Amino acid sequence: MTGRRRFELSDRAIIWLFLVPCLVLLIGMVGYPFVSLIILSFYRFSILRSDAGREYIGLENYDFLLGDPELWERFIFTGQFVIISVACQFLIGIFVAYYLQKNFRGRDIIFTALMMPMMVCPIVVGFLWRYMFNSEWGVVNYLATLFGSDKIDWLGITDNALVAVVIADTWMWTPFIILLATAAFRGIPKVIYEAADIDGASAFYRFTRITLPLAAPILFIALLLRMIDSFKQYDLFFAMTGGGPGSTTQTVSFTLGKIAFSYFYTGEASALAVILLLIIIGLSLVLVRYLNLLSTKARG
Amino acid sequence: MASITIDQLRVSFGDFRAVDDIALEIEDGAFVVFLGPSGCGKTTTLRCIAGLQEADSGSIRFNGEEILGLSPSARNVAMVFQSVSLYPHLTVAGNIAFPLKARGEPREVVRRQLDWVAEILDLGAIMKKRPGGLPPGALQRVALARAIVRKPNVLLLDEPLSAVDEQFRENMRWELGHIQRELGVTTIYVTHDQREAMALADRIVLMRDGRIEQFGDADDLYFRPRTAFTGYFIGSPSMNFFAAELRDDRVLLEGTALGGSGTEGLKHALAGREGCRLGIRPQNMVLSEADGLPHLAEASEVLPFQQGTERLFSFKLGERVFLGQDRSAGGTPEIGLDLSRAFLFDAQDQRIDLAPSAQEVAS
Repeated sequence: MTGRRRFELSDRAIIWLFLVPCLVLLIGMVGYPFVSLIILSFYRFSILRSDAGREYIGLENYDFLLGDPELWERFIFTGQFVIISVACQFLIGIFVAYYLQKNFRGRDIIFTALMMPMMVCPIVVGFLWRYMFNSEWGVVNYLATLFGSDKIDWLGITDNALVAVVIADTWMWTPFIILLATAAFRGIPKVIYEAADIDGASAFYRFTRITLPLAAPILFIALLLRMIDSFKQYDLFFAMTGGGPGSTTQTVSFTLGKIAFSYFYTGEASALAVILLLIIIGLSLVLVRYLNLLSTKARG
Repeated sequence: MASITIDQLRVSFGDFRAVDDIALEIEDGAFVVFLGPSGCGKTTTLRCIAGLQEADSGSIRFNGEEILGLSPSARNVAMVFQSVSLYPHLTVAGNIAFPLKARGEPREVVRRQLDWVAEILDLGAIMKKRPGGLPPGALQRVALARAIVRKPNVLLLDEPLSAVDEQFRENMRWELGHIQRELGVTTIYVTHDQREAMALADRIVLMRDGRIEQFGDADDLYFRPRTAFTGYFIGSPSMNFFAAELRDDRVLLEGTALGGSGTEGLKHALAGREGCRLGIRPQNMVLSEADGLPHLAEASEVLPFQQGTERLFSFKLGERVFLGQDRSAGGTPEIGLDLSRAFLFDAQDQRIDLAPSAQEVAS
C-alpha cells in the first residue's frame, strides 16, 4: 500500500559500510607500507638511486645486520636505556601515586600539574633538557656548582648522556605511570582497605599485600606500554645527543633513521625495521595475551 | 572478650548529625543488634566502635579502657562488612590467614587456627578457591571465618546477610548465633530487618535519627514499646495507629465510636488529653462474630484477604486503611479490638500506661 519501497540495507551491508573506511585506511597506511617494507628488505636498493633498480639478494641484508657487532651494541644500549628509564618511572610514579591517594589540600591541582610533561611534544622536551644540561651555561650544572661540584660534561660522555636522557625521559613519562597507578589504586574498593585495617595490617604490609597485587594488572599493562614506547625512543636522543659522542648514544631506532635517511640504504633499513617490528610485535603479543587473560578472568 | 561502654557519642557529617549523643552499656559476651531504618546512625555507630569512623566527641570504652583514638588494629575488633570485603587475589585460606599473618603470628599458629575455623564453618572444600567464583553465602562465611580466626575482643557485623539468598539466610542466622554463643565473643550486629533482630539478639538497640529509641530484649520492644516509633517498627504486619479522643464519654477512633464494654481503661487514660493515638497490632484486631471485645461501630470497605498462611482483612475509617486478622466464619462479623494488647501514645508519641488497675476497675 505504501507508494514507494523504502530504501533498506541488510545488516551485512551496514556492517561493511562501517568497516570500509577503516579498512581502506588500514590497507593504505599500514598494509601497503608493511608489505613493501618486507619486500624491500630482500633487495639491495637505495631510494636515492631508484633509477638504478633493485637487486634481489635474499637474506643478505639480515645476515649483514645481525653479524654487525656495532648493531648489537646499539641493541644493548637501547636495552639499558629501556630498563633504567622504565624502572625509574615506575619507582617514582608508584611512589607519587601512592601519596596522591591521600586527601590533602591542592591535591587535584598538583595532580593536574604533574600530568603536564606528558603533554609536551617530545622533541621540544629533548631540546629543553639539552639546554638545561648544557655543560657551560645549563641550569643543571649551575645547580651542581652551587653544591660545590665541578661542571659536568653531561652530553659529551656516553654514560653521562645516558643518565641525562634517562632523566629527561623519566621527567616526561613518569606522569603516565602516576596516571595509570592512580587509576589502578582508585579501582580498589575502600572496604578492602578497611578490612585490612581491621585485620591489623600495617601501612607497608597493606601496600605490598593488597595494593600492589590488586593494581598489578594495570601496572603490568603500563609496564609493557612504556617498554614498547621507550624501545622506540628517538626524539630525545636526536635532540639531546644527536647520537653522540660518536654513535655511542644511538638507540636502534636512531640507527635505523640514520641508515634510512642519512645513508639511504633503503633495503638494509627495511630489514632492520622488520627486525624491530618483530621485537615490538613480540612485546605487544604478551600484552594482548595478558589482556585476553584478564577479560576471561573477569568474566569467569 | 570485652564489655563495651558508649558515652555521649556524637558524629556529624557536615550539618547532619548521624549519631546524636548516644549512651549505651553492652555486657561482655552479649549479642546486641543495632536496629533501625536506613540513616538512623546504626552503621555509623558500629564504624566508630571499629575505628573506621572518627567521632566528634564522646567516649567508647572496652572493659573500661578508652579506645577512641586507637587504630582499628589496636582495638582487636573484627568486622564482617555488608559488601564483599574479601581480598580477591588471595585464596579462601589466604583470606582467613591474613589477619594472623599481618600480625606476624608463627606458622603453626596460623595453621592451627585455619584448621579450627575451617572446621567450625565447614569451609574445607573451598579453602583453596579464590573468592571470585563463590556464591554470596559462601563469601560471607569466609568473611566470618576471617573475623573470628584471631579471637577478637568484639565482633562487628554490618548487615552481613543482606546479599545472601533468602533460603540460606535463615540457616546462616542460626549458625551465626550458635558460633557466637560458642565463642562467647561480644557481638554487635547491624540490620534494618526487625525479624532478623528479633531472631538473633539478646538485646536490641532500636535507633532513629541518630538517637536510641529503645534498648531492651525482643519482648520489651514488642510487648512494651515506649514510643509509637518502636511500636510501628517492631512486628509484622505493622501496628495500626488510630487518632483517639474522648468525646461525650465515648471513645472515638478516627472519629468512629468504639462500642461495647471494656473501654473504661482507655477512657480513663484519654481523659483530658489531646492528640493521642491508639496503637494496635493487626494480630489483636479481629474480624469475628461477637467475641465480646470492644468493637468499631462502623467501618467501610471491609475486605478479607490471604497473606501467606494468615487470613487478614483490611478496612477503611475515613480515608485511612487499617489491617486486622480475619477470624470470621460466615455470620455478621464485627471488628473487635483487644485493648489489653493495645498501646496509647500521647501527642509526643510517648506511651501512656493503660493502667491495668483502670482496666481491672472496668472489668
